[in-house]
Amino acid sequence: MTPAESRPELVSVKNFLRQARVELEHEMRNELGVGSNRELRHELRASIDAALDNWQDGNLAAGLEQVRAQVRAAVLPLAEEVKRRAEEKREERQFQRINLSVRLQHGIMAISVIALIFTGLPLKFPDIPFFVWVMHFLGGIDNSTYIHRVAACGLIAVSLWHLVYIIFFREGRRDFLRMIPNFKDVKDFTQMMSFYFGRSADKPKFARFSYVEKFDYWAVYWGCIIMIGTGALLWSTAVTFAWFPKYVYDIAKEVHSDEALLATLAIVIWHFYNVHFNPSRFPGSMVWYHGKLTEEQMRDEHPLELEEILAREAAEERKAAGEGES
Amino acid sequence: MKRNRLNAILGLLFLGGAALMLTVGESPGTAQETVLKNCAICHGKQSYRRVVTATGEVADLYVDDKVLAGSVHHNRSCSDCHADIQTVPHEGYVPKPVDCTRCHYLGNPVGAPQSEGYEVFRQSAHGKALAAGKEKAPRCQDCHGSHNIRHIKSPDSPLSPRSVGHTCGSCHRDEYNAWSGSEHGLALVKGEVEAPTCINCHGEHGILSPDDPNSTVAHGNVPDSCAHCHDEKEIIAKFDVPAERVETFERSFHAIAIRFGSKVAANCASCHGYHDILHSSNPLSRVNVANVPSTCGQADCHPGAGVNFSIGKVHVNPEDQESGLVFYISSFFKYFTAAVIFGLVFHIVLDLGRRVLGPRRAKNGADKTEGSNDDAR
Repeated sequence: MTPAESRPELVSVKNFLRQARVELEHEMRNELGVGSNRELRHELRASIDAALDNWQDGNLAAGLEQVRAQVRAAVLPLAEEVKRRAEEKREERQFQRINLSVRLQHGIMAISVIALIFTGLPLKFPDIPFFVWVMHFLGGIDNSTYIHRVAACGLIAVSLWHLVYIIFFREGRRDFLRMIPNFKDVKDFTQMMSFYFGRSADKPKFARFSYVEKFDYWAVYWGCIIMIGTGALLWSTAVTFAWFPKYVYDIAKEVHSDEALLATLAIVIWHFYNVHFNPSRFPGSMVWYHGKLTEEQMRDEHPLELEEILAREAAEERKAAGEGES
Repeated sequence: MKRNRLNAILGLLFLGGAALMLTVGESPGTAQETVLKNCAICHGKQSYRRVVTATGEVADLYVDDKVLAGSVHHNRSCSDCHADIQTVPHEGYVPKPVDCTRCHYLGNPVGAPQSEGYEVFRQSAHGKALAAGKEKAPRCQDCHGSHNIRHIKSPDSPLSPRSVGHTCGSCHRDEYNAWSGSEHGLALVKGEVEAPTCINCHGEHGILSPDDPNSTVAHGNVPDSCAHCHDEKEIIAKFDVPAERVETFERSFHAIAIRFGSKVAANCASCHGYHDILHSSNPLSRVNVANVPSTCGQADCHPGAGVNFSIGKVHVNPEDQESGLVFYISSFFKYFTAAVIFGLVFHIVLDLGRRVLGPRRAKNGADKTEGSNDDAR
């Protein structure tokens, strides 16, 4: 005979507690909005058990209320924390910073430039074993020059597309104008330097395009003009040789080859650092794919652009509200 | 003691044997005379200069003993080489061609000079033609000489620098004619023995067709063959040959294309010609300024090359100030690239440093900034 059986009133208390535990859990889950969060459910169950263990004999209703109060006190802060986190997640806004056209321009240019580098640099450095391997892999000079010309067509196409984009599309025109270097870039640069040297606590506040982005853009812009211009002279030897002295060809070749090396180094060192090996990007930013920045990234990298967007949106809202009222 | 005596006896026996062998070795001397006499009965007659042979051809079968006496084989008998001729006279018999490898093979015991030449020859264009039974294919004696054979270093050898062109030219007539009027051929006439003859470019025993990729004059190997002299400082200095020609070519697109497998990109010979190479100052030269447009404008190369194209140097070294604008552009990019990359790396290092040392530095920096502001005030 167990002690519980010998004392029937205790058995009923036990049954009551078991029942109460289930009911309380259900009740409190709804009240606190625990939902499916595992951490929170575990905390709730533990606190109910603890409260019931502390159960003092006495008034049933008062006892239950006491238990509820204890559970609330234990679980509520965590429940709020979880709720806040979920809301934050929901509210982290994405800003579409780079549109599809520019992303496609970048993509085609990236593929073309990679192909151009791998088929071009071996001609500048024919002694480097890796480049010798590349040339053998590609099947020799006849294939590599063919690939080089196809990729050159890609680069030319992107350049023309970009010209159309910055002339005939409103967004393109707007971004092109914002790409023009101004005095703020000089100030930003000096502030960046004093930030780097620990003489200033704040990074400069960048607008739509930072001086780094402007440098990259104009480097590519100028690079394309040089490479396509000299490349055309080297490609169309029938015209070049028929009309120009040989030193025109020599100059074109020298410029094409030297600028190619500069561009390759800039891409591999500078661009790869900025988008791949920079600790905040590693192993690589996906902006080239989706073109989006989170609000936090916007605040960090382009705070003035963010302000501008938010101000514009607020103005639009006010306008819409004003129209609604009138 | 006993042992010493035995050794002495053995030594004496050995010496005796050696002496005996020497006398035996010398004995062909007398045999040689009889053979020579027997052969000379007919082949020493002036009338044998024109003889109708068993095959119906008219041939010169006269052998001048003076020629024979001056050759390296002067102490050999006729039958040492013409081993198939067993009877005198041998009317109606067609003698087999002399086979030099009867003696001149590696490891031969008769002391004939030995080289791997004949093995290499078998792999050559000539050797293969011979093996294929081609009538006109040359044998050793066609180049080295037969009755008049001389040491290869002898000025009288048909393979001496002055004679080798003529020797090859006895078959390759057009090539010989072109070469003998070329800068190289004329240099030889002037007595510059370093001037290249046939064998300097084509090789000797191992001569291959230019179509064979292993040939020294195959499309891709021509620059290496020319570089033997034109990249040789001594020769460049001695004969005032233009320098840096091989170097500048190797940096050109033509050379790099050849390196990476092009079968059509120009090598030295595509522009300068080969047998008939002439100095660019010669109006007949392919690389004379007046002829550059037609040379570059060959149908397979850059048809339509204009007169303007001949302006300016062809072998350009961007690192040479004489190259003018190309030199300055090359130098500009050298420093410009270094400066830009240095700047970018500097920026990257600062950025990384700021990320690593970031917060602490920033704090100090902020304090410092305030401090310096105070100072300014």
